[in-house]
Amino acid sequence: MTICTDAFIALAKEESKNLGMPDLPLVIINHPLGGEPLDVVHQRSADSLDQVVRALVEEA
Amino acid sequence: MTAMLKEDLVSEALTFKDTEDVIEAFHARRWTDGLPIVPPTPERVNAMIAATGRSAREVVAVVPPRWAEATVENVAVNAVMAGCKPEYMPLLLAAVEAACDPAFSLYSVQATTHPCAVLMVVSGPVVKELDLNYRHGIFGPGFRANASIGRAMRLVLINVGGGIPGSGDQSTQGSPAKFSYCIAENEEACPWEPYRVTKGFAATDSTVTVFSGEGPHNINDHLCQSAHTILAVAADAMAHIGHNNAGSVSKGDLLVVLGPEHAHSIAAGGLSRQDAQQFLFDKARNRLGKVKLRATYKAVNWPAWINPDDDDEMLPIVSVPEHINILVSGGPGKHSAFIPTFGTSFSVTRKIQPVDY
Repeated sequence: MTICTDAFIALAKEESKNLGMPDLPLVIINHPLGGEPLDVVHQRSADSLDQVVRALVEEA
Repeated sequence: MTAMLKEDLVSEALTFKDTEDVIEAFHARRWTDGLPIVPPTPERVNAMIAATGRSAREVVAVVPPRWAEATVENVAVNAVMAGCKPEYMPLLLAAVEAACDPAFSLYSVQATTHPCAVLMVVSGPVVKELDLNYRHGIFGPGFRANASIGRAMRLVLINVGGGIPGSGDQSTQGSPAKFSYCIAENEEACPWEPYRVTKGFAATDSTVTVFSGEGPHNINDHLCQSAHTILAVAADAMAHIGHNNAGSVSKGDLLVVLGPEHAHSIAAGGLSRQDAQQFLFDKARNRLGKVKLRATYKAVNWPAWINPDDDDEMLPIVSVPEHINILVSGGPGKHSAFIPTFGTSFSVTRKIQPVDY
């Protein structure tokens, strides 16, 4: 499972395919993350938790 | 016409009705840099391969982010498309190999949002043999060898490595340097030993060095006469916090291209290349408190002797003077250039292997 921002979906999908993991679950969060205040990053993390759990369970 | 394939080649065969059809098809498939290509016919590709003295199927390197094999054959295809002559192939193969050395971090260089390109620096007898430009306009247009070799590298990065803008190449703004970026040493105007010798190669060797270079930043000084004042101007051009080396300090090296007149003034002042490197290392610095304005600064990348809690410390842009590489190139005039790099990438030099037919 990999977490990426929505601006980098194309690279993430291409790279997972190139590395032989085309079905690698991706958790997509809003762009940008760089330069955001810490409280925004924490909120982004909390908001993506359900996606992360789902991706891990699906992978299992 | 057949754009590719011969029985002993493994590339896919594509047949087109004419040259215009080939060019349009390559544009449509995003197999170009946006400019028309020379159709890679079997005859042209085989001529390229023959000039290497190597097997078409030989794997030269694995190119990220697609992690695809660059073979002599598919590098030759891209060299044809770029307008190269067959005799450029040994240089191009050495450069592809150098760019794929782990120290260069090509995955990051290709996929980053930063506007770095692969700068090729050629040194040695091959410069004149291939008619590479090393005088007026080294970074500009007008010279077939520089333009087509630099373009061939970019086409390999796109077509083999998958460095396609928007997917494998995530550069926010890109750079004109991504079209073609190949320069050569002006050895006859260099007051010090040739660049390749500083990298441990023999004077009789020819080499290519790759840098993850931003576009060149001009250093203009028409008035200073002394070595130290010229270098002080250069240091000022290098000491700002907007480039990646300012924050990545210990993780990479960079390049200063001295115009011959600046180089001669510096040497006439009694300074060796090592002296100039030391001066720039000492003077091209940023106040730590200023560097901390960069949200991406990382104290872990700084030399151990820097106190990260002292905002008045002056932070160098590389960790040792030798990481300020100095090349002499260009024509008459009082201009030099600073080439910052991706930051977490070291330049790599390879010998250009003579062809044994």
